[in-house]
Amino acid sequence: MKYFLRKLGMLAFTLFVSISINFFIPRLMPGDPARALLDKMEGLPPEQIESVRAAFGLDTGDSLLVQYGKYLGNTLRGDLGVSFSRFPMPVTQVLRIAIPWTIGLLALCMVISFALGTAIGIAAAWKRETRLASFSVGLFSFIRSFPYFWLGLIFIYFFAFRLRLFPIGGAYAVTETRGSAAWWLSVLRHGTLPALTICVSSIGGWMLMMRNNMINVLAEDYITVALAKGLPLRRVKALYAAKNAILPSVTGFAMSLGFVVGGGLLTEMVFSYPGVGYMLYQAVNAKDYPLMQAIFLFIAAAVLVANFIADIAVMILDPRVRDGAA
Amino acid sequence: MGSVPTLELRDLRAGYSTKKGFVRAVDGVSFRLERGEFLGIAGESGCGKSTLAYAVMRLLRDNARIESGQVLFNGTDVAAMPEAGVNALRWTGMAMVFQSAMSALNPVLSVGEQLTDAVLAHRNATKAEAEAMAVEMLGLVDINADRLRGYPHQLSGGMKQRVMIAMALILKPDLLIMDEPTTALDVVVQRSIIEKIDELRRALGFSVVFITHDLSLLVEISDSLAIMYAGKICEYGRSRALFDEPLHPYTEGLMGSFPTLTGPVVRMGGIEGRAPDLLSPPPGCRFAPRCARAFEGCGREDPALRDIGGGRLCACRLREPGREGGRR
Ligand SMILES: Nc1ncnc2c1ncn2[C@@H]1O[C@H](COP(=O)(O)OP(=O)(O)OP(=O)(O)O)[C@@H](O)[C@H]1O
Ligand SMILES: [Mg+2]
Repeated sequence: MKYFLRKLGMLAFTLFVSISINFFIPRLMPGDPARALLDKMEGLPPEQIESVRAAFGLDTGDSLLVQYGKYLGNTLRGDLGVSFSRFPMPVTQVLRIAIPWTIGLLALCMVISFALGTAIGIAAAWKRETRLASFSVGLFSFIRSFPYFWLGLIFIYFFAFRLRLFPIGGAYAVTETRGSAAWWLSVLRHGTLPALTICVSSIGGWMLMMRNNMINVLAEDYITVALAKGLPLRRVKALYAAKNAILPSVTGFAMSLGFVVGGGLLTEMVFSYPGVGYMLYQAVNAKDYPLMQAIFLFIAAAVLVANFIADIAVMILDPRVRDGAA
Repeated sequence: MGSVPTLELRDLRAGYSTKKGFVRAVDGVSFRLERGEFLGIAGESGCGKSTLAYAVMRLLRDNARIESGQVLFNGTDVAAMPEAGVNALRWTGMAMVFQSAMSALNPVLSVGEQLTDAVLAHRNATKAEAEAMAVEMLGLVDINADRLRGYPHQLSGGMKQRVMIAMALILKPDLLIMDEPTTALDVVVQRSIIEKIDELRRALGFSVVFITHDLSLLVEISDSLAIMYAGKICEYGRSRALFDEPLHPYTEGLMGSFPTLTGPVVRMGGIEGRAPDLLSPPPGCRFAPRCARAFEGCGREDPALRDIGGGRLCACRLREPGREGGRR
């Protein structure tokens, strides 16, 4: 319980820090937001431009600190401002369009590749003398070295451009009615290549990590004891070996999450997949600061929350952590 | 005829394949362990004691294997059994307490789960019945039943080892092998654990193979003793007799005293020199290079472990018949 509260406090603190960083970073970037917006509004009557300026607080002359205070208050209320590029849509509404795509693609792929990689790693360590096991180690070491965007481009070139098996980009066929069976099918077809990209480039790491943990654990004395007890091998493998071996993997999952999310967002850009990553790309191009801020905030919060979940998973799996020992 | 011994080893050889060759850590070991008997096996670190224990349980893995010989458990050869047969015998027939109390328990499973899983694997018992057995066993080793819900990291080293003993005895095996069960513990705890085992043996009637490098632990408790040096048994006999009159120079050294013809017993700080490399042991008697009483033939001829009367066996040319210093 103490551990849980400590982790919860940590989550709250890190969220606050990332919200703050989120406020300052865009303001340190080159380019003047007011200018950018005004350029877009060329031709509008001056009174309207004035009202926009007032609405965004761009020319209010408030000090940075006062702006920061207002920003914190607004963020806590869930008011992240109005998008510049899709004026006058609130950014939360813009984000709400993108988030389901990203969750569906990225979160699902990450969970699948972690689960699959871990399962293969367990098997490869358990039967490590076999040829298949050594082969799989070589194979996964090889594919692990592919960068996301490179793999994505290769897939696009071969499967979409040359073979025309899958669409080149997007997330669904615009010609189908949303929600129909044909539309869902098109979602699957559009999602296949980006999903493969993310899964293939992240699975190798999980597999190799789990295999190494497993091999270390298999040398532990409690494994010999379990074998001496004549327990069914299934039980030895799952509850004596894998349950111990997965602990560093779960921690590793939490730690590399930021990296994986970054790769996933890059993948969205490569496939023009209308998720958060692609939206970020558009927001940066349009110098849409409120939207950028909201996206950064979303990414940071997602990583932090996933980290928190991983910590809780470790707590559930490891009694030593529960007691605050390790 | 005689009854079938609980354990009988016949010319057992086992060891490890390495890049440099085969390390024969157990080299032609034979002995008999009668029902209810307490046998101590003593020898320096690296002489092959653990390898012997693992070979009996058929636990040698990876680069380790039994090379030849028989491990007769209640008359059946464990060394020649199919794996499924051995697995059925493990813990029900023979159980083992390991050298490393600290790391022998799975840190992520509760004590209760680790005590009962062997019961559930081998017996047709319900979870409640298995837990009742676990509570009873913990009682025998003086551990409170509420530890069942606890985890290994909440136990002290001595408690862990007692849990291990309870675990080993839960299915009432005929044979309990203990591989230096007390090395990691302090002296007081060591004593209490050994006394506990002796007490349980008398109550439950199992046989014990107790491995140690510290002979003094076994003085009062073991029935018989085997002294191991470089993969071989160099001396064997009833404990009392062996303690009173060690026959092999290595045993003398191991007991830390060296009897001289005149004058008092001189304490010796162990034995000079190092144990031989088991990859390529020296020709002749393996102890000869370190033996203060070696003579010219010792480096050539390997003395056999021979019966020299009174239930005693010794592998030393000093004890050969007609030899000066031999037994009258
Ligand atoms: N995996 C291995 N590969 C190669 N050689 C090994 C291996 N394990 C043990 N040995 C060697 O086998 C010999 C016997 O080892 P063993 O563990 O049986 O000794 P021991 O008598 O139990 O020693 P200790 O009192 O230190 O536990 C040693 O010389 C050791 O170097
Ligand atoms: Mg040992």
